[in-house]
Amino acid sequence: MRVPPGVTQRDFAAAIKQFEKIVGPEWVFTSDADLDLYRDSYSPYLGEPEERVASAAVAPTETSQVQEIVRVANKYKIPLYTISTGKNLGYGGSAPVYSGCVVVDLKRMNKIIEVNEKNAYAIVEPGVAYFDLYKHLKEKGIKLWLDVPDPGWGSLVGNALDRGAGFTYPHLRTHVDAICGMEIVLANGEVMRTGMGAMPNAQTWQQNKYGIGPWVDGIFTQSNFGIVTKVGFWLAPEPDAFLKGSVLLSGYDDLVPFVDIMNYLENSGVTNGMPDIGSPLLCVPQYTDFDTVLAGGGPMPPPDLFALVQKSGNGHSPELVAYGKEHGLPYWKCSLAFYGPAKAIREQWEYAKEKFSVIPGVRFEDEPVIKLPLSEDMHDKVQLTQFGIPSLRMFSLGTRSKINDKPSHGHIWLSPIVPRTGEAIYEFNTMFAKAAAELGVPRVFPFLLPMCQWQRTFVFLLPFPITEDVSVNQHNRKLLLQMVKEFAARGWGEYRAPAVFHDQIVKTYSFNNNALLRFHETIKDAVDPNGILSPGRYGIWPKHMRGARK
Amino acid sequence: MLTRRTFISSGIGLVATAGTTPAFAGLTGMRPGAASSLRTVVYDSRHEACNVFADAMRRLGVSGCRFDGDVTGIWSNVLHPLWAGGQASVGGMTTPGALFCLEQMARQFNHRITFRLDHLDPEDGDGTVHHAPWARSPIDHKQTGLSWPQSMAWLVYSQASTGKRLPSTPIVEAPTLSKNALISWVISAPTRS
Repeated sequence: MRVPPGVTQRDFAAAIKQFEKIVGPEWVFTSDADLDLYRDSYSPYLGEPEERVASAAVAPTETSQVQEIVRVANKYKIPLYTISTGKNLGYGGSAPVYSGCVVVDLKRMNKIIEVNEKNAYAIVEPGVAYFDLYKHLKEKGIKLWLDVPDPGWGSLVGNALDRGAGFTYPHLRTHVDAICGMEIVLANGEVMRTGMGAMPNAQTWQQNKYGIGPWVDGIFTQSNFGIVTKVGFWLAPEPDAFLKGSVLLSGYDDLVPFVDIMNYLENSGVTNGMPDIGSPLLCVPQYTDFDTVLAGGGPMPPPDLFALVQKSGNGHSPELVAYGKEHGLPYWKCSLAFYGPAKAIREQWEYAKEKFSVIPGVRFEDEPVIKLPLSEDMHDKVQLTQFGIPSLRMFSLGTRSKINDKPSHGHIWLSPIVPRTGEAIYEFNTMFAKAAAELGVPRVFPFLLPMCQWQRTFVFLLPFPITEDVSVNQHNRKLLLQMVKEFAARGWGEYRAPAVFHDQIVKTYSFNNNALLRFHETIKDAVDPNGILSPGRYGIWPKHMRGARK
Repeated sequence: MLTRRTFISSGIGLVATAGTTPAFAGLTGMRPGAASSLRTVVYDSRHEACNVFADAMRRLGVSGCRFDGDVTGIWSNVLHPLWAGGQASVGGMTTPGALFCLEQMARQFNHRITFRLDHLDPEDGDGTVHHAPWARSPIDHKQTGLSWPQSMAWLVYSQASTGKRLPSTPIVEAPTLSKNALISWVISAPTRS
């Protein structure tokens, strides 16, 4: 039997027996074969001694069981690590940050507690996946939409607590923004409810986020201050229609005015879907074409164009400009999305076109309004995530295709936040081109565009492949951390981090001698003095483990 | 190893019931007439070999669910409801990406890959199909007269009925996959000791 560091065999055996009494022996896992299921399938330490592994796993089915598990863990000082459905691939999956933890697997806590169509919200447990809630809405004929990530196989709670995001309305696209009320099991085994949930008999737990006093929901995201057992999510009423309109820009520098106008339109509420920027001239697909391209579909760019792009360095050259003019290929294609009544969104798009008309040479592509709900035959023609429909289609990334005959064993993400400006996109690419040349950083496309355009935020998503070759993985890990430092030097911090790099990445948020991290540690010491909850998650170590890491 | 020529010229189809190919049954360790615990098979209809596999399964009495690269529908409409209802063995022949997806989803129900055989270069190169050397490949195709996808159908069928389990595939031992790999597999919930 594997035993967590610092725990005696006898204590661990006693704890396991008590876990078995709480959840039933069939839901406590200690064999190597069972614990293999809790390895990170995308671990950057794949097969190396530093790969993070669990000592056991326990799968409760209700909040009271979680409370009992936590009390046992406190008694025997067993480190726990909580997962929802364990699909956080690219950021650590189901493996603990601290090897030897007992994974608390919340997949069996899969109740959809309530869906309220009138007030457009749902309350779910951590084991509810996007597929589950979507199916529930469809089966019950509830005309609400959820915002889904891509792929959509994960848990609503797990994704939101790691601050994942999706593709529809700005106020719901960053999933943590959609949270309204939580229930949490604290390290002492008590249950706490936030916001209006702290008021007995309140019927507004999923209407008003704040209640009274400090608003604490945020501290349970990307942290280890409690085990979240219920979350309320705001959903959206199904809109009447969807419209996509594209802005075609011929000048390399046109991204600057475009992004400024795009921001104005989104901040004014004129556009309410996620923008989608690609470059036909630089062969960079838009997000809506991404999985098709990576799966090997779609036409390959002409060799002469591809050669010009490769030669251009940062995506600009007189030859490319001439090629674009000759072949009618715009530098940038930026699609805006609108949800709402057909009449209204047509007018909103017309207004947007007026605003963009100040850009010389701009052209527009109109697409027909799509009436909603989406018919089955339309499913293959659209990007499903823009319609709140979870999908596994994105899973082509990293798999074998005509443009990728050496698929990886997955990837981890580098995901820096940059200012939401055109200038930042160019600056990022200048820096990244240099890094690619000097350090051999892998590049999927010759020019990078922010794939994640969340409310007032641009995030670049850069995959680092995991391979079968340990030396390549070691090299890629060093590269990734070097890039984290380069980004941090420019004030571009990661929005989320692979579990094995939590320490290094959190330390880049170093203002005033890491005041923020020290504040987190102060909270940790107060709410979890034995340090049993997910030690090390986002760099927050319990006191007795901290010294060794400093 | 079968060559493409052998595959194409093989006109011998499987008979409908297990055990009427004694040589094959003997090779796989199946009892004649044994029923399989396979509930269904999943196959990627973009690949000819997968279609042959599925057809062979159908003749063995196991219905198949086809998809064309994207496993979303298979997961939502077939496998999730199946596994949510309890333990169920599912077989398949798919690409590695599809299997990885399904393997991850199966973990939710404590199901895992209990059999896996990789078929390398099944549709390209000189037509020679290499079965991943690190896994058992007990089928002597020449003796059975079956094509390799048909043989895989028998093998997958038998894995579920004999209850023989190979160790679940450790991630680090996954073989190097060449240009066009397909994988025959079984996902089930092994009995815990």
